Amino acid sequence: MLKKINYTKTLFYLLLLTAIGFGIYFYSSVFGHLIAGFVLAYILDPLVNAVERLRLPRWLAVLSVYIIIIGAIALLVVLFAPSLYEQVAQVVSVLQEDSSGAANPLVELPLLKDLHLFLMELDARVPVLDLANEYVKLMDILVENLVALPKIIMKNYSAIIGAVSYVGTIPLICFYLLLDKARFRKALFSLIPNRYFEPIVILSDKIDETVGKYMRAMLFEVLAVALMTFIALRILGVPYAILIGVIAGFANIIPYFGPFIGGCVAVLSSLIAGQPPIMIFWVILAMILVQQVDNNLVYPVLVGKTIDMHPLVVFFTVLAGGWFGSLIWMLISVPLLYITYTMIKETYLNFKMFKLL
Amino acid sequence: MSLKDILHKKLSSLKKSERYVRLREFWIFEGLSNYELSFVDELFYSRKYSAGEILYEKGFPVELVYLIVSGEVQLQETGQSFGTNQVLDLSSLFWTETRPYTAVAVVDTEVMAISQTDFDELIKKEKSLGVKVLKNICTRLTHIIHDKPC
Repeated sequence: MLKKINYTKTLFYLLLLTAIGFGIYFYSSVFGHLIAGFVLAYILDPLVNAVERLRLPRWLAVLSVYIIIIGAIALLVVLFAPSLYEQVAQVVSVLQEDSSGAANPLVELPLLKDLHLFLMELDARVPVLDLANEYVKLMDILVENLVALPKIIMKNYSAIIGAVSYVGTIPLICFYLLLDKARFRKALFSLIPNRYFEPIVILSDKIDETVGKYMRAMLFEVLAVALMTFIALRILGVPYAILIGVIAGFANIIPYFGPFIGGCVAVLSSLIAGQPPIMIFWVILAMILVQQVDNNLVYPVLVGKTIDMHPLVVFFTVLAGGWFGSLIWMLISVPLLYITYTMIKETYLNFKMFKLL
Repeated sequence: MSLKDILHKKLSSLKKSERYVRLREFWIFEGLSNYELSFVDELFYSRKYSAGEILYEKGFPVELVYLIVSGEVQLQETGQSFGTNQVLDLSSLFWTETRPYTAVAVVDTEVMAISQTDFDELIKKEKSLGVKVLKNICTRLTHIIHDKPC
């Protein structure tokens, strides 16, 4: 016998599907904001919980955390923003001057100049060599590439403006997510069928434990490394200490290679400023020291165990991130890979135990 | 609203203050203040099982403890059944083991599910709540040992 088609039911689900489709299309432009708000709420949640423990109502706890953070940001801005801006502007102007000038500025730097002079002397003795000219050419290529850096930033201008518009909406989304956390969680979990309920509760706890901890630790590490680098370089008198600190902090997100990038920038800055070559040694020593403190003190306390990822995997992931998108993708590619990997692993193990897989 | 009315209503249709009254009907939450119950209220999940549906199976990992709001649940292996206001597999609130039995809803059943992880965190946060729950469990155990009805 043919099964009778329930037209009302079919029509209802068809309409529902259409509505969901339109909904996704309609809200797609703010989806990124929602995710960013969610991530921020996720990071701030333990802080709000801690404040709530003082027997404050949740809304007041969220508000207090907001006030604390805004205060901290304001303090940082007042303290560091003017000099940070100055430093960025200086670097940009130096590099732009370089491109227009006839003489290569790099060749004029102390250590590199010595090398140039040595090569010229060598050329004078062995006329066929012409090493000095080749050297200048090489330096020219280097400068060209360095000059391209601010241009890359300029090209991404619209993206930067987009990021600024985020700043307005994300705290608002984050506020409500933090405030009604329990309600949102309950509503979301009520959609799960009974068969999958307990596995998913366990899974969400596991993911919360690993991913949440990792994300918060990463944020704190960026701050810690930036601050330590800044202090170390300021003591050594390296110029652009704040800028380098910020770069080193963010670069530190990338395992293995990040600290190296930070160190390179610091050494380069010291070189460009015309500081004596012995400073390179001190700068490298300072950066190694910062890394040692980070690896042996900050990281073990915050995360407990290091991410076990092969350097080659990290390298390819960062490279792929660069091809996929901008600088930001290069930074978040490794954490994203780690989070995805953890989620898949936990889901597999958990569903296996519940005989769902 | 009287207690009788509250007991007969569905969990989702109760107001916050009524839910606190309802929660206190479970012996493990006896004597908890509204402030303490507000945290419990935030973390329980309301679940509905139709007759014959399995709540959990023997050998599965343990995370949730079930407080029966209405209906009846039976343990398949022992035939022991649990009804309104009873707590199913209390040990799962504190210990991580695998389920010793399979639990099946005999009739349409409404339960409150509380996650062990959430409850652990809550006890760490609200120590007085933990102490009260501990006292309730001890009282219960005393009654069972002395075979007094409760």
